[in-house]
Amino acid sequence: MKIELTLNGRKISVDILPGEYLIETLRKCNIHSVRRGCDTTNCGVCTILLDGKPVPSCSVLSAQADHHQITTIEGIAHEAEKLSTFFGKEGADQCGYCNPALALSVYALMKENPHPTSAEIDEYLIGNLCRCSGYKNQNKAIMAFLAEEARMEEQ
Amino acid sequence: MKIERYVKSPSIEAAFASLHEGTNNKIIAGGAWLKLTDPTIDTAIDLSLLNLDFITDNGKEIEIGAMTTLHTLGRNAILNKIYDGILSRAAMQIMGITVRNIATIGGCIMGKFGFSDILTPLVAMDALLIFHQHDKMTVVEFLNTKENIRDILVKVVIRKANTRGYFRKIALTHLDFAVLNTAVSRNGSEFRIVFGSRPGVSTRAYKAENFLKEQIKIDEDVMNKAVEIAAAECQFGSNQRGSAEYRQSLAKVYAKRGIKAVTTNEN
Ligand SMILES: Cc1cc2nc3c(=O)[nH]c(=O)nc-3n(C[C@H](O)[C@H](O)[C@H](O)COP(=O)(O)OP(=O)(O)OC[C@H]3O[C@@H](n4cnc5c(N)ncnc54)[C@H](O)[C@@H]3O)c2cc1C
Repeated sequence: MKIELTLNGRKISVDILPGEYLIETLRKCNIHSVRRGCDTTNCGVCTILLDGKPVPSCSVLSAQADHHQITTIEGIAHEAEKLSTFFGKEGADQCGYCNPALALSVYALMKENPHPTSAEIDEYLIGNLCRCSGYKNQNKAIMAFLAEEARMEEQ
Repeated sequence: MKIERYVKSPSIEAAFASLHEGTNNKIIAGGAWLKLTDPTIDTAIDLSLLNLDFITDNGKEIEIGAMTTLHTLGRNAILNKIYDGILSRAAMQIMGITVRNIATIGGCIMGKFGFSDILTPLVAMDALLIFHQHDKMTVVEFLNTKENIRDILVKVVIRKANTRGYFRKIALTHLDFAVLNTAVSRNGSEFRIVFGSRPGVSTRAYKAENFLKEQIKIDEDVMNKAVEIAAAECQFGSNQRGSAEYRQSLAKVYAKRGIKAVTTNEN
């Protein structure tokens, strides 16, 4: 079957199988930033934004996404690059496998709640598992990034 | 998941007809749990075009569309107030945001999952299920019926009243199933005491509820007696998350805290 997606702002039409998941369809569309992890919605590394909301691409059928908007890290490259400098400063990064998903979740959080507390950040990112960096430095980096974004907004 | 055909039904009548066209046709809501069971489906029936994602308040009742996601339940201002927000609180303790953005109230109910966190407060709220064709029934009636209801759940109705509520999920982390869920509610002299993830499906402690109803004053002794009755009348089982004895002990502690919370301002 054929579906239409708006992928990172660009309208595309893709052939899919009825039982195909978004993670597989995105590979067909040459999007390799979306990582495969547990394949059971537990780890969060396959997170993408569906109409702006974080969802696990391993568990959303591509047919469900017909006529919807998909955002991957390529669609928020500017914000992700900025966030990565804060991750670097705080030592919040190691292997980077979970990073694209984490950046998308932080982007979604920023839209939903531009001034979150440290606890709200932790709560929002519960489903984004990271096995190397630990969560403390990520939290600090995100706090610093959001403070900087707010400062820029005010100017 | 192996799917032969995928249809986005244009109407609830069309979805119902598709469901009954073959025994291997299935409704897809969030699809999150279906994926884990890896079924082979002839026709997957998607309800997303049917506008079943809503929460409305008509003054007397709150209506929740079957396709409303857990995250929406958690963030909704009306649900955060009614029964002291127990449904929202339960929803927000399920997994991370990605799962909550796809898993629906309809999928949670129709799955009749023993581990379900939202079924426990829904039972305590006497929530009513409205199907496309089948007679309406309360959540607890639905959980107890042996009938295989092959219908479409359209919405969930919660009556508004001067109600209090308490909910606690006991689990190691947000990503774990509960060892035990406890919900207590009060509407005047009527109490509901509900245990879920026992690990069986949510159940009411009817004898304890009746005992509380007969009391003029709910003091420490009455509460202690009520939770003894509740823990004795409900069945608890053992699995890798906890033994039956442990669950029964937890049940007494949290039911007592619940009764206290709904009879005082400690919540
Ligand atoms: C990894 C993982 C961990 C989880 N952990 C928890 C947890 O800790 N606590 C908890 O409470 N829940 C948990 N859940 C379950 C989750 O909350 C949902 O209950 C579950 O995903 C089902 O919702 P869904 O919308 O995905 O339904 P689906 O998977 O789409 O459907 C489930 C069943 O309901 C039927 N159905 C769905 N909607 C309707 C309808 N409107 N009418 C008729 N039939 C319908 C489907 O045909 C199917 O049989 C977890 C889920 C996953 C994937």
